[in-house]
This record gives sequence, structure tokens and C-alpha cells, in this order.
Amino acid sequence: MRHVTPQPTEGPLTEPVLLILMALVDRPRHGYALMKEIEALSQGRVRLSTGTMYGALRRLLGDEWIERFESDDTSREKQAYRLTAPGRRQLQLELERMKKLTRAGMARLRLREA
Amino acid sequence: MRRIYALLLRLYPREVRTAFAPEMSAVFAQLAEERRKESWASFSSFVLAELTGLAIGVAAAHHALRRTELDLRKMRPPEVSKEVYGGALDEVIAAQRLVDFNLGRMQQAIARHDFLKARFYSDEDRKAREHLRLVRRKFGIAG
Repeated sequence: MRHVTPQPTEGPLTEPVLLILMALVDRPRHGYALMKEIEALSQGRVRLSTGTMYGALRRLLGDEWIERFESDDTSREKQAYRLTAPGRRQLQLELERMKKLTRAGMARLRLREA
Repeated sequence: MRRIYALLLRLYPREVRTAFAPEMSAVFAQLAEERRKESWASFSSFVLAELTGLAIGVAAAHHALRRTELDLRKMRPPEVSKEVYGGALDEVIAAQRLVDFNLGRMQQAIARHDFLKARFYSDEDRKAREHLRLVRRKFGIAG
């Protein structure tokens, strides 16, 4: 019997989407905290614009990979978001895909150097 | 600067504004303050990046909306039941429409120098916004 590995729904994730999902793994975060976490995760390389981040959040909410989260300090201006189970699964799949690709690339490099 | 950004957010489709504009405006204000403290160059590049991001975001939102209606039902907080949230959305959208209507009338009155009418719609606008805020709070719908 052929083993079928579940695949991400829409090919590789974009960098903003990947970073948002990664930033929400440990706990829910609101917009500004998300921005800061993404900056830290990318070691200062990625500074998303507000429009880019909320565009990605809108799509992620639509796909139900994240959800709005009611916290103590939730207000109109401070809405927290958290990862859903399908979102976590998509992130795992994407990281697995990247790991395989990195392994293949490194193996090629080693062959060339040998 | 935040007021200008808030005005530019009006370029987004209404559904997107209803769901995200207050949050976006607040995040923008926090980041702008932070970058201003860093340096003038950092602030300038921030403003440029924000304007570019906003332009792309507005275009993408309109494009997405043409392809498929934004499903606000998916924005439901997990603590709120589907039935309550469905009813709440209708109320929020109606309240938002009233805000937009009053604002439009007020702008038209100002343009015509009819300040008596502008003042009337300004008062109506304030009431409509308060109503919108209360409806959102009542159903736990942020943004």
C-alpha cells in the first residue's frame, strides 16, 4: 500500500505566513507583540509592514489556521491571535518540507566538495 | 501621523475595515513612536514601507473580495457561540454602515459650507460610533 503524506493545502508558505505561525506557537499574541516576535525570530532581518501583516492575518483567519483569542486586555485595538490545530499541522508540514530540502541541498554541497 | 494612517485605512473594503482598522491603526502608532525614537532615517524608511505595504494590502484586499466575499463568520472568537456571533455580525455591519453614512453626509455638508448640517451629522456620527462600540463590546467583537 502506498503511504500518502498529508501535504500543505497551497504549496510552500510565504515568509510572512511562516513567521506569523512560528510566532504564535508558544502563546497567543496581539498585533504589536507579533511584529516584535517576528523581528526577533528573523534576527532583525524581517520587519513586516502593518498592511502586510494584517493581510496575512486575514488570510490565516479565513483558512482557520489561527483564531482570535479573548484575553484579559482584549480591546478594539488589542486583539490577540492564537494558533489552531490545523495551523500547527500546516506549520509542522512546512518545517518538515524545509528540513528535507535543506538536507538535500547540504548533501549536494558535500558531494561537490568531496 | 496616526490620523493620516487611519484615513488611509478607509481605502480598504468595509468588511476589512470593520474587522481590522482599529488594531492596525494602534499597531502603526506604536511602531511609529518606536521608529521615531530610533532615528529620523529609521522613521522615514518605516513610513515608506508602511505606505507601500498599505497600498499592496488595499489592492490585495479588494482583489480577494472580488474573488470571494470575506467571511466574517470565521472571525468568531471561540468563546462566542455561532448563533450569538451571527446575530452580532448583522448588528455590527448595520452600525458600521450608519457610521459610514453619517461621515459621508458630514463631508458633503462641509464641502458645501453647510456648517449647520455638518454639525448635525457630526453629532449623529458621534452617537453612531458610540453605538458601534457598544455593539462590539456587547458581543465581544473586537476591531
